[in-house]
Amino acid sequence: MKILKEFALGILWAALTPLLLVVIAVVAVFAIGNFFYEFVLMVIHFFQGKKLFPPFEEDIKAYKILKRSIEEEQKKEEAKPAPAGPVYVQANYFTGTPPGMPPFPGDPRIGNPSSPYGVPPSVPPVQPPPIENREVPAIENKEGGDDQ
Amino acid sequence: MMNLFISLSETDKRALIILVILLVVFLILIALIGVAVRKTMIYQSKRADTMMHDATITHVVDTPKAFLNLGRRKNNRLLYRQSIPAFLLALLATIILIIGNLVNGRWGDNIFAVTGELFFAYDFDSAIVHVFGVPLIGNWPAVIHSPEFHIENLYVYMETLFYVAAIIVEAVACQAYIARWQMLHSRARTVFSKSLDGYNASDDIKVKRDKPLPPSD
Repeated sequence: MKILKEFALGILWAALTPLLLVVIAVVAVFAIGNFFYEFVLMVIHFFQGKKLFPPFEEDIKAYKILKRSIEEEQKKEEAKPAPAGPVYVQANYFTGTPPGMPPFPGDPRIGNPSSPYGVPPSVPPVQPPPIENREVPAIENKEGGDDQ
Repeated sequence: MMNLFISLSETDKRALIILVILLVVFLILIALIGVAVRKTMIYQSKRADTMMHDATITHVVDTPKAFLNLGRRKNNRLLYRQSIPAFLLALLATIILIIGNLVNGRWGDNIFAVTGELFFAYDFDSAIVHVFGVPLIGNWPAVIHSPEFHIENLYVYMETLFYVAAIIVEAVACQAYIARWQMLHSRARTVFSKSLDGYNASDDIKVKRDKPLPPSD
């Protein structure tokens, strides 16, 4: 049925093609006038120091709105607290892997206790320090007021 | 109808069958041309959505009139940009025409007739036969002109080629303009339209659950 529908629409559009050609001819006459009008506008923008085709005011407004909404989304993402948990010191190849983690596959000390680097000591995970509620003194500016 | 078909000679039957097959093939070719034109315009009209998307979703344009105003200005600017190649081709052809005619002095020549010398010319009148009143090509048409290339007409061939290319490029740009114009008018109606389908005004009424009045005597 879809093929028959496409066939029928094709016949219809083919029958309307002469009318379409007439409309294209009329639009072509308009296009010649539009070409010279836009060309003159382009030359005026050039001598005004603007871009040849400056963006429309509506596009500038839309760009500002979209940019503001993206920045607000990014601020919300940054304001989210970091997940709590033990922080492991980044494993150094020469000091070994942290306990509880599998050794690096390319580590030559795997199965070789007599390597020049020796067997690395186990490094316990570093716990973050507890947060203290200390009063932070206000920073005074040159005039003597609070700089807040 | 069947008696008429039976009374036909074998030659007439074969001609009728060939006529029907040719008609079907002709209709299919015509339909393919129409399908190509329609698909091309659908593809070209999608540019209108790209042009108007940001301004519409941010509600910078919030009425059909403002939508069409911005769409018209953007469409005109895009038509100008797409017409630049056609204009440059036509300008190049005109420069070749002026320089060539200044050298040769052939200002009155029809450049398309001169370029036609590069192609075969046939005498179709001698090849037409009438089958059931329908004119069909029954013989090979006679060749009345074979292609001839004259080096002194080289600049005419080039300028004709550039003019034809400019006409085709401009026609495609105008077709795209028409497709975008139609899409803009369609979107201006649908994007800002509101529908009450499925809405029932009674659904919003909140009934206050007060104590009912005592029954009257």
